[in-house]
Amino acid sequence: MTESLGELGLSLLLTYGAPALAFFLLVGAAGLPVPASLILVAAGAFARQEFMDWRLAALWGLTGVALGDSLGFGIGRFLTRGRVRDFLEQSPHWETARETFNSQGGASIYFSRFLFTALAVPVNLLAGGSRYPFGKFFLFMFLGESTWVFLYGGLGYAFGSQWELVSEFLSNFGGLALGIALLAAAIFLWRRNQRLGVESA
Amino acid sequence: MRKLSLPKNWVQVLLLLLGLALVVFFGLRAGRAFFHLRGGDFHPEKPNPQDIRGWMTPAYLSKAFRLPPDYLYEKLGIPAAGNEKRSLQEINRTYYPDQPGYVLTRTREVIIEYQQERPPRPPNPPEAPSPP
Repeated sequence: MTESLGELGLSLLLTYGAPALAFFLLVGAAGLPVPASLILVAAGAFARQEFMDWRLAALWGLTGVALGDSLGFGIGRFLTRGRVRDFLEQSPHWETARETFNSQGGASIYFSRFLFTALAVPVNLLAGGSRYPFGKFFLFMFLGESTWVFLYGGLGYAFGSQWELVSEFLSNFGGLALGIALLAAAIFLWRRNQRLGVESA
Repeated sequence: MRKLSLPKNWVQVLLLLLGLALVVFFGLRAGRAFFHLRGGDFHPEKPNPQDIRGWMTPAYLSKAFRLPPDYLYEKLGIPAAGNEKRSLQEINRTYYPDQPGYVLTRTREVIIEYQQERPPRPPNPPEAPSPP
């Protein structure tokens, strides 16, 4: 087998059209390592080349990714029931994390769809596991995924036959954004600890 | 013997190191991709035959390069039926198993030949106003 997963995905996208896009976005959102962003940018370019109807592609793509995210949410909820739930609920850290996520989870869900895409699957699991309300999760997830589908697909459409260049840039930009977020988190924790140290002294 | 222990603020140190590694690695790659994007000859409507890949299908190439549907099959020496939606890699495996990469190379040549034989027409000049 000489084809990579990306090549196989692109070939299936050309053969089966928008339903193949929905399939790849669904399995990617559910947690399988498929190059969903690459396939989405390519779909935008294929729409520019009149090989695919962009409205149909957007509809199928959004349906697929919303189902995949909901599946991830369900897996998170399923994995944290029974004894696992009892064990987690004994930990004060889990309770704090759960409360924090319940109060500020909307932004995490929204931005992890298109900016910090590497965090999308863990956020789905965390949302499901922390008993975040499904209606709220669906709303923020759908808004974020709509941004992702129209932004990435739109860039593919704008760059047309040169979509591979924009896809390469976007995949690296996601990693860069995650790095900046980690640095910001480190600085935030450092400053908070400094402040707590001063207050307790 | 002295017991090894993690520094007090190990979470911040870990986040800082991981963040720096990601920023350097992906920052350089994103910067390079950005300069490729800016420096490239930008023709979104005009695909380059050198960008043809093994995952592309004859139906797609026909549309993207505006080729007559049967032109590519004829030049590759393969039937049209059943091959429209197969990738060039699959076609190569089926018809030329002893020549890996042949179909991809030949497709690029065929499209370049086609473009040279039939260069794209210049846009129509604006019509002169008719005399009153």
